Amino acid sequence: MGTTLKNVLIVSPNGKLLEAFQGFDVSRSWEMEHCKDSFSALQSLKNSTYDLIVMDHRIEPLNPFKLMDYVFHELQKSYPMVLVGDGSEPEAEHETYLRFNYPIEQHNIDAIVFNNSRSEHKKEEKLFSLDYLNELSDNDQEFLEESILLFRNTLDTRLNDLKKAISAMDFEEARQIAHNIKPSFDMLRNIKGRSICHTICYDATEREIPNLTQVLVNEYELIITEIEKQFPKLKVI
Amino acid sequence: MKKRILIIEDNPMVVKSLEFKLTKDGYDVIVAEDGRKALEILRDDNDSIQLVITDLMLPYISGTELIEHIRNNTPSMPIIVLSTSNQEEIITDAFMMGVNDFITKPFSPNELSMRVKRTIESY
Repeated sequence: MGTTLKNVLIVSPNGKLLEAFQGFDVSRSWEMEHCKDSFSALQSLKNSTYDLIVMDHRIEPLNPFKLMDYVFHELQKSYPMVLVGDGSEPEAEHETYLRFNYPIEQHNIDAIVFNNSRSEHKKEEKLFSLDYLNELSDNDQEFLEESILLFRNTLDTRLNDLKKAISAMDFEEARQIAHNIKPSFDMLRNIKGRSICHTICYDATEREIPNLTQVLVNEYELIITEIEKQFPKLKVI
Repeated sequence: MKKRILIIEDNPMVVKSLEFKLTKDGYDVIVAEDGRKALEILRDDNDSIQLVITDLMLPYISGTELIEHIRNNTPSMPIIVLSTSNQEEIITDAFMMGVNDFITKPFSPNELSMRVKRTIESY
């Protein structure tokens, strides 16, 4: 995979993170650009394309998730992300990012390389598939269309409920909603949505839930756009 | 006469799929979206129900509380748990509570048919 990972943007308030990445054989071969804050990173992201963004968790004025959210919505770009923290939270692998702690070690570099190769593979995945619903209904068109409408309408409501629960800092409710909607993503064979719901429900810290929810909402919107492309008559219902 | 199944599930897509499949298999299906409604149905209509299919995480009254209630009041009522979790601990706990079978979501349509048929025929 090292073949596809080439341009890396490193965002950290000091040079420590860049230095750390220059200390390993694999990462030394990457073209690494360093930005000291999220505004200059945003400028770079507007002008160039990267294979990976590595961010210190303390970057300002936009934190890493807000920066990536801005990039997604305003620049319509999506990048794999690595968060490097101070050890206050355990290292973890989520559907949308990896989290490491200082000091960066060889196994962290290996994880980035492995994750990148997996992401390359995932790019082949479709946003949704009707295989399961077709199998269940023996290709019953009416059932299929009703199920898709149900997906759109109930997810619209439940994702709003999820946002409200987060605004009210009711993370228990947020986890329950994620649990409730997980099968809906599953039934449309959307692995990313399913996995984020699972993470919110069982693994994510309270601090991570708002950002994961935003990623989930983005994924939902992509699915709906694709559904409406394939089923134009459902757009007006 | 058609056998009647009570589905207790709060995800509308799962409900729709279960209703579609089980109706097609020849069952009469009634639905409760939460534990409270399920208790009302069981209180008013208990004798006409031949099988309960329930999720574990439900609004108001959890699936676990509901199973306990059913086991205390109608010990012979067959129960199948339908859950997104496939963790061994959760499955074991469900069987310890006396459920008859456990299916994970999203269910395989043919597996659902077979397990429902087997459970109903055994009781």
